[in-house]
Amino acid sequence: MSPKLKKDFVISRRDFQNAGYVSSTIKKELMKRNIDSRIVRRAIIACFEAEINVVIHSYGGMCRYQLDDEKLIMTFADYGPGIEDISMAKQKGYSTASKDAIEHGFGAGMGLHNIEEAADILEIQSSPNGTMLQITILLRMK
Amino acid sequence: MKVKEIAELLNATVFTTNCYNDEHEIKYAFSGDLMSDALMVLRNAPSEFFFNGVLITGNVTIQSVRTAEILDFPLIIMTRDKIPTSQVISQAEKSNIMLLGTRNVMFSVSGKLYQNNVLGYTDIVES
Repeated sequence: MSPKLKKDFVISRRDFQNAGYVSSTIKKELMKRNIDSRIVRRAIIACFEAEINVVIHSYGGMCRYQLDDEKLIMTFADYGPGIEDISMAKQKGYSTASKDAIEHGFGAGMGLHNIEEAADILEIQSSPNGTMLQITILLRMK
Repeated sequence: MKVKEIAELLNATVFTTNCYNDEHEIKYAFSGDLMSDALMVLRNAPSEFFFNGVLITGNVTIQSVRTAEILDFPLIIMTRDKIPTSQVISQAEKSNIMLLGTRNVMFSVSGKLYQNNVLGYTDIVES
């Protein structure tokens, strides 16, 4: 049994230079644990898209990840403006991203769709005050 | 193809001089500027696709390095003479990712590598 882990990260608005740091850190932790590499990749794709979404769309937020032998839970919580229409936002190609997001290779309206495809369980709550997104990945050892 | 053969074929500049394994074998490639596209299309690709793969892109921001890191690509080819910042190069070296730059446009890079038996994702899943 590996020890349970819980860690929090702050994610700053429009901070493209550091966007990806959370995903990179969680990936390193998963790789230490002998988890099937396809599951690691799926988990980190979901994490990276969610991290980028906080950078692009919110006024700033945080990520908490909780890891045990069976699952990885990543919770992203941010301050406003929230997702106006969640079902529209899950559709491929629906985007409200800014020009600088597009210049960094994101903002084409695929993020939430990618997260939904990669996650085993996805919960989203959103209001004009902010968004909470919880991604659960079920783990399997090699 | 070995990385050094790719560099020669494309008359490429090596940006990551502190991280350059020119003997590394490249068999697969993904071309695109949209990082979400790479993440979505390749999420179920076999690990070999990444370990022996290259990301070909005109995106010279740090996010192309992050995307390569997340997917486990050891090499990025940056097209159309675009030059990454020192911060991008430094992040690539930290993440152990080689960066090459070339004057060739993305279409030409892809075509030249394909002619040398480097395959795309749909070539391996549909064959």
